[in-house]
Amino acid sequence: MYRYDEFDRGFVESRAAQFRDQVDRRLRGELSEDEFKPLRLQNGLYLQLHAYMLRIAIPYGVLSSDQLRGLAGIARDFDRGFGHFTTRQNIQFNWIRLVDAPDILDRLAAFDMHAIQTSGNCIRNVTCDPLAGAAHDEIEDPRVWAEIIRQWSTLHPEFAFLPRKFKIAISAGAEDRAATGFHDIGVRLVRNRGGETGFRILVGGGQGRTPRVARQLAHFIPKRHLLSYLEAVMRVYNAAGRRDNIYKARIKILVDAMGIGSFAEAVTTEWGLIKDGAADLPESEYRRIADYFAPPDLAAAPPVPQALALAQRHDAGFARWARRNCLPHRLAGHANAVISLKSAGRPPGDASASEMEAIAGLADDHGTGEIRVTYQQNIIIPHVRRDALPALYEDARAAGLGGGENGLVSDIIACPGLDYCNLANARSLPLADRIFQRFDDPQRRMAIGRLQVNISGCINACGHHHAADIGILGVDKKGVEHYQITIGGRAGEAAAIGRIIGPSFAGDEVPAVVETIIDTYLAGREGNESFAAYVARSGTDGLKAAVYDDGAARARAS
Amino acid sequence: MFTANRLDDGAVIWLTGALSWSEASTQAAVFSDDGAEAARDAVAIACHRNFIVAAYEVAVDGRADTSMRERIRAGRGPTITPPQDNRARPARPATGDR
Repeated sequence: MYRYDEFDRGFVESRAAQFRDQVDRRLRGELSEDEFKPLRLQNGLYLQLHAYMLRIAIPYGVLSSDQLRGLAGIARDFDRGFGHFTTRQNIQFNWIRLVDAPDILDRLAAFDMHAIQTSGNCIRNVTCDPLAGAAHDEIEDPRVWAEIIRQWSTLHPEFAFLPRKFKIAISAGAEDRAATGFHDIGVRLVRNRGGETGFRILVGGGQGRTPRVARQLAHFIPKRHLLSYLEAVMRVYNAAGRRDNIYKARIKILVDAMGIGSFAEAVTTEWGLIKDGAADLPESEYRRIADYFAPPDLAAAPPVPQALALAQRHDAGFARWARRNCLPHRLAGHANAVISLKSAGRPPGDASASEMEAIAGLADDHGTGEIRVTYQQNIIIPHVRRDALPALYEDARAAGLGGGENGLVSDIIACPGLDYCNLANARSLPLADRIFQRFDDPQRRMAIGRLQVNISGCINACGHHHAADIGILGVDKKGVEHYQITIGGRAGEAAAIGRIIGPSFAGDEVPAVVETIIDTYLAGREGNESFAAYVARSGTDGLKAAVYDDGAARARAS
Repeated sequence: MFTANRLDDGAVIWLTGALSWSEASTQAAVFSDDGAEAARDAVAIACHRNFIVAAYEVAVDGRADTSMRERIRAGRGPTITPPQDNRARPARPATGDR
């Protein structure tokens, strides 16, 4: 994995020292809050409902076990002993004191991490397929390009004050595990007819109050031109994006206004001016960065050892976990193991400091000491020998992390909601737990199969409710929490935006409504038809009728 | 009522009847129109002295604001139980009251 060189280390350390000085000046009154706020946001420090919140980037979702132990130490020493993993491969701490923030940035710098550009109107943490370098279906390791984009976008002087925040995701698998269709720019590694690898560029995706699936901007950009092409897109957006209205400032609105054809033309014109210039990366620099991502030396392992089949037969918990949480690896004798941060009573994506340490131990004992953080708010231990899976499961279970929830109705994505967030209208976390408890039988969850439920506490859609089979959006109705339901959204391939099915429900009604939707699907599905396929085939009228005509889960007038 | 976050640690605090600041929402004073001017002065002074940040008035219509947001904020924490660390956290020195 990437390791800071002397330049990186010096840069991050000096940035932490600058922030220490800025905090001191704020506390002494030499900086007003208006002057200080952009400085703290540039370092990921928000003021939330209860306290300051610090958002730390996990670049392309990759951590070493020692880095995760370092984060656990921050949770324990400076916060309340836990952290929250987000959909964009960040970790957030909810109870940070301003006076401690400089010490935390120093601590982070000591293990090659930082919080730079995790907030503000700049290019945010570049996210990536969490299986990068370990996936069975990828063209090549996208982390090399994620790191190149990270270096290019970090403190890029031209893009420090964009009209609005800007999010880039990159994926190289046949399956899109990085939600590239819901990013300002989605980068997909593809191969052209000549067998050359390059990039398909998507633009203008996003959620919030104007949800959009990204559209194709270029079908094939050669690898050597990626940075100049991205720079051209950013220049068009930076010059033409609206700055007069925060709700109209994202690139998706500009693409809507110009039309994708005119936008693409403007990008091509700009690209013509800078292509083959200083923006493009020299081959030698590409090779230098690619060397950091050399695949680990994995010894050959038998593809499906008999011991694994035996263990599955004798332990129902392991069988479920193996079926749901063990993802294919590029080598037949290995797997990628999902550690679910979803369980009864656990806010989705939350982990205690001791659990982070336990996960670091799992990676050291059963993997290669590497850890991945997912869009789904879970953890993945990559590169696990298949014959080590029973032992990994046992250790995970002993740490309270043995749930086999990957991709099931219980694998809920949720934002922090009104329990922590200053912007939220309604709570996400208690509702996520009530839905989990509603489906408390693991066999029932398995029988339902793959089904995504996402919850956002407000229209900003941090819980990605637009991109779920069943999306839940918190709204404020005369001071009381209510929830709108959407159906038919999807991240990944064929990304789609869910549609609102009708008037909102009180929080108490929502678990029954979700159950009614799922029961209606189960009664009507053909064979192993997924929820998405069922909705595509039969539409939503049947689901609506079941929800709104059923006296037990009726809608209140909107 | 008047509430804010303490600048140095972000803690939610409330203006009391004695025009001091308390972490206990039960100590929050409801100011009538007559007292509100002095309270607003106290808020302005606390802002000016860099003691508080993000101050605002909670409208009280004959009773305390019962919106879920203000209830959660006054409760000083989420309505769910976060995962519990199994090791004790080190004590941190309190930030100074001013």
